[in-house]
Amino acid sequence: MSGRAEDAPSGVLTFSENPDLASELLAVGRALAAGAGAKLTTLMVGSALRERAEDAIARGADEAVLACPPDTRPGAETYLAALHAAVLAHRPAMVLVGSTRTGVEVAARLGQRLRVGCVTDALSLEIDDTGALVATRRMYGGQFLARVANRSTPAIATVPWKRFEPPPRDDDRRGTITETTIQLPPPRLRTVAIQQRPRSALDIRKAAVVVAVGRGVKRQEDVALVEALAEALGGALAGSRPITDDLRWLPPDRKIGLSGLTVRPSLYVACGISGQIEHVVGMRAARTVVAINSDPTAPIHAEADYSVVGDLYAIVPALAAALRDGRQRQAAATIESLQ
Amino acid sequence: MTEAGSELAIAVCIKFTVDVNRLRPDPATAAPDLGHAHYRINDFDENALEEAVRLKERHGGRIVGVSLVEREPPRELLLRALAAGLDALYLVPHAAAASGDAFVTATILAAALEEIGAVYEMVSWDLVLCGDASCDTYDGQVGPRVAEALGIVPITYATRLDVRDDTIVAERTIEDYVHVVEATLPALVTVGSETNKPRLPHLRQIMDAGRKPIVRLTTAGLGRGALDRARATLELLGVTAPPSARRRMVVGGNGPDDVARKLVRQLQSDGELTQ
Amino acid sequence: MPIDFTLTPEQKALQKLAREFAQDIVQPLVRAADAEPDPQKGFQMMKPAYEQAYELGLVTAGFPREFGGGGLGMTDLLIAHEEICAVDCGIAFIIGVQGLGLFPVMAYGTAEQKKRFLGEACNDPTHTYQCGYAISEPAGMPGGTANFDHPSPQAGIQTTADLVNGEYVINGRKFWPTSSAGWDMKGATMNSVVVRTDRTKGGLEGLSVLMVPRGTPGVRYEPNIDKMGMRINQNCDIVYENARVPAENLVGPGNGELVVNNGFTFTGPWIGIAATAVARAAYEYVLKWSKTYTAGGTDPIIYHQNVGYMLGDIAMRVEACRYLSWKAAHYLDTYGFDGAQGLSAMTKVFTSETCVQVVYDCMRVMGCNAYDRAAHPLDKLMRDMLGFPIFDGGNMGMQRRRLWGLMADERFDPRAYANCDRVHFGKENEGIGTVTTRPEAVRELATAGR
Ligand SMILES: Cc1cc2nc3c(=O)[nH]c(=O)nc-3n(C[C@H](O)[C@H](O)[C@H](O)COP(=O)(O)OP(=O)(O)OC[C@H]3O[C@@H](n4cnc5c(N)ncnc54)[C@H](O)[C@@H]3O)c2cc1C
Ligand SMILES: Cc1cc2nc3c(=O)[nH]c(=O)nc-3n(C[C@H](O)[C@H](O)[C@H](O)COP(=O)(O)OP(=O)(O)OC[C@H]3O[C@@H](n4cnc5c(N)ncnc54)[C@H](O)[C@@H]3O)c2cc1C
Repeated sequence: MSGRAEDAPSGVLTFSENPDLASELLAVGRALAAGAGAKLTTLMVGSALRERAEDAIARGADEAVLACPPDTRPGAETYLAALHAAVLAHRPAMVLVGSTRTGVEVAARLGQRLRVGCVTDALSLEIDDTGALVATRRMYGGQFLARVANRSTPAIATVPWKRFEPPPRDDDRRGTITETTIQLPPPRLRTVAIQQRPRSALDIRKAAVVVAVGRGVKRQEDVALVEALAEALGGALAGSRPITDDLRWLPPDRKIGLSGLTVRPSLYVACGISGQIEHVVGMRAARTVVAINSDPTAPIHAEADYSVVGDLYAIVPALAAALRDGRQRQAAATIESLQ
Repeated sequence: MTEAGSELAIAVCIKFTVDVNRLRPDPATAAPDLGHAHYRINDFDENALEEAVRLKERHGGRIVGVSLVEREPPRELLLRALAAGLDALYLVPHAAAASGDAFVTATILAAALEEIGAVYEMVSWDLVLCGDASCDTYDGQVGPRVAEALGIVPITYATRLDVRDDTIVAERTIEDYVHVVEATLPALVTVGSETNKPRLPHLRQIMDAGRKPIVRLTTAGLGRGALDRARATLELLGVTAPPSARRRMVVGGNGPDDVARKLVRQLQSDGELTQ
Repeated sequence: MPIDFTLTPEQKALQKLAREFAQDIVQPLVRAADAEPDPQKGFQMMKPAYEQAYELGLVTAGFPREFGGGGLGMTDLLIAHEEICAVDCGIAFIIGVQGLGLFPVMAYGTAEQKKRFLGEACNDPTHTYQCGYAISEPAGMPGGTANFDHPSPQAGIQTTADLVNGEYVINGRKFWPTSSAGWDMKGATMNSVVVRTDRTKGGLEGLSVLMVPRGTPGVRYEPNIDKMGMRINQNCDIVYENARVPAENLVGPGNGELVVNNGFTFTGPWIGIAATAVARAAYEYVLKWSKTYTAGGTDPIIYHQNVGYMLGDIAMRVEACRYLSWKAAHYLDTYGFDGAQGLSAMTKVFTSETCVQVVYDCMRVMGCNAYDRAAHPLDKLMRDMLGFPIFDGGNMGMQRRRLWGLMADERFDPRAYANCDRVHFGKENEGIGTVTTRPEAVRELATAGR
């Protein structure tokens, strides 16, 4: 290879402030690095990162760059400075950032600084035969999938949470760990307070049955009706955006849809959800879909295998009762067969 | 707070987008049937506009809308944006507007904002408001990129905001956290549906909206060679709708209990109620 | 190209405002309010939506700008009104009835009266202002409404108002007026009441209008009428027992019957578009249904020819009704109510009767499921629709008579409306058909003449 080729940007640089997502990025990064000049570098920002760096190397990184900010100030400004410095130092062909809200801001601003393109929320990434980074991403609320080629250098993409499995550890892998310090401009954004919103212990993406509640429920206490159905089905309770975000009747990690989580349960029951496309993209992969909605023209019915056109206040308790009833009879039969 | 001198110069970036909930795939190609698309003001931009109006109500000032457009949007949408509280609307027509290339969009918008600011003899906008994302691409890049291009601080995903003197205080929602921040103006703030509930405009504002100025800027006229610098970075290779194959059966019956029994029987026979 | 049905951008934006108001604010309240057994409660449940409508300028949309109204023309009003009626015509009439209630002032009031009554209507800080329009009277002797322009003082309107010491003293009863009793059954902010101010004169000379404000002593409200449809619309039963209002509240002295005729002229296209809207709601619902429902067959029912043809017939009538209403509104915008009497009556009669059939045909297309009131809206649409031919000056007793009175006139030009020429309608066209050919009455007249 000529000297010129060595000068050309190559390799993949990954960053996410979220440790899980950072590991997941290594899976995509490893796959792309093969076509992008082999080297996979991961950036970590903060202090006491050695253990995570070693883990990253065991999971496929060739180099872990640990950037230590002068103070413990976290946030987009710090990450952006570190990532920008790492791009200048390592000259990667591609930069992958975790699609958190902070990650998207950092990726977008990095793109503007470098005058390059960025594809957000890539569902899949590959390198085409022209060397461009080609991403699949959702479009028009999620009803469509777009294929987008990013021909910039570096080409930036952000990758959503839990889209890829982190690569397994290989403790024999070797790599380098580099520590750097970063220079930060005086802060423009001052943190006044940070509060954690309540979070549920449950991961709705792991549930085989998901029962989702929407704006068809009139009062907060009525969410219990739908919760009882979820219990009767042995499933997890989730919600549409108005329920989790606007009304805050459920924690944010129970939101299904474009701006929430994507679930793939075997059974999905929508109660009082209209079925706007931004919600539907999060449940489309369910095997069987049941919709309970009083409006027969609600779009959710077109997304359902079984539709009940009716008042959820009547249908949902009846359904929960029928399920409990069925289970009791089955239990009685089992006991009888054992006697 | 409303004393002279504390009035706010606010710019709102507005996108006229396809109404995604009324967009259908072309049955033959599965590509979006854009020929029959309906257009609307991007949801979150309506929140941005509403927030601007609320700030103006409290502090006084001026609200100017800026929109990069591929071609002239339906005039009723322009009137609606003006009726909602804009003092003037600037349109910047550019062929690349439809490409969804955030670099191009942000670079041109930033140049336009500087240009319009110069019209009003301003050093800088006090506040630039954007939606968190637009409903068609759900990309989330334009706000932070415009801030970067203008060299002002971005405050993304703000769910509540207030201005005191030259300080902005905002509550941001970042995944599971509520992050309260403050910054000295100027700043760029992005907002979403949780930030506020946009009001419907008064009928008279709608009927009179046409009297407010709608100014068309050309990209060629923008300063600092914005157009040359805004070369495309992304290429859209194709857009298609994945097929859906739902059974779409309506379960009816004699009252809720009967419906419930039928549904349970159906789910049982499908093997969905095994555990 | 003077005939242009293109909506202006302003009209499209107005249409969107009305649609959003109807869908976001009205729709969520409708089902429960319609189902409420107590008509007053159902009406009260819509109060928040009414206040919003006031705040948005929809309630005062048709009043002149100089008094604080929206200054919209009839065509503009129709565009907004269709969107609200498509969701619920009851609230649409509550919102619109102020136009009828204040019609006497707008058409016949003095400058001073306009300033006072329209100014009050358009500038209510509580956003609850209402003005009822009370013509109709209960069944009884003589009773009823249709013969308001009967030449005999003993026939027609029997609510009387006698001038005593600078005040009018009202006695009688009104039955049916919309929004007259107000949110609390103590009266709307204002009511315009058609009364007999001259007990010696018949319907063509003896009637006038009195503006009766809330709180007028001697006015009592009986429980509201419990109707089969339009349940959200408040229809009142008002008793006047020596109710006193100042003489300056008198409007259009001796022209009360013209107020009635012209008020219903003014509302003709407005009711026409409302009927169109209710039919449209049924049509769009059934169209969607036909594209998804298979009736146990293998294909959606729209692929049966009878369904396809029927839907076509439904659609064409809805379109025709809309454009006739627009035409009548355009005529009103061109000449005012004067002369529009015939076209307005044609519009009201044609659209209301056509649209009853349209909703019924929608039920036939849909089949038995249309009869399921819990699951589908056809029940409410039909109940609401059945009011259209019989209210707002019933088609049989009043609307057709106005048209007849005009057509029987020597000067009537059958092409005038097509050519958009001015038509004249005056007292000479009224009163037609009020005196019947009952055999004894004819004999009595003959004997008297001898
Ligand atoms: C960029 C963007 C991202 C978004 N991301 C998401 C997302 O991730 N997830 C999400 O969910 N949304 C998202 N949304 C919002 C989305 O567009 C819809 O507004 C939302 O999904 C609607 O929630 P809903 O169905 O609960 O409420 P509504 O649309 O209000 O629907 C309520 C439904 O309940 C029915 N109903 C009412 N009463 C009863 C009753 N008694 N019995 C039975 N049914 C009844 C009604 O018929 C209606 O269909 C996003 C929007 C945008 C613009
Ligand atoms: C929802 C609703 C809202 C209403 N709002 C108002 C309101 O705001 N203000 C108000 O004053 N009223 C209101 N009304 C009442 C309504 O407008 C009138 O009472 C009604 O139009 C009177 O018409 P009618 O033909 O039924 O009269 P009636 O006098 O009861 O006549 C009954 C029938 O007799 C026959 N008939 C009688 N006389 C003749 C004749 N000379 N020639 C031919 N046929 C004749 C016709 O068949 C006629 O239909 C409302 C009614 C409803 C249902």
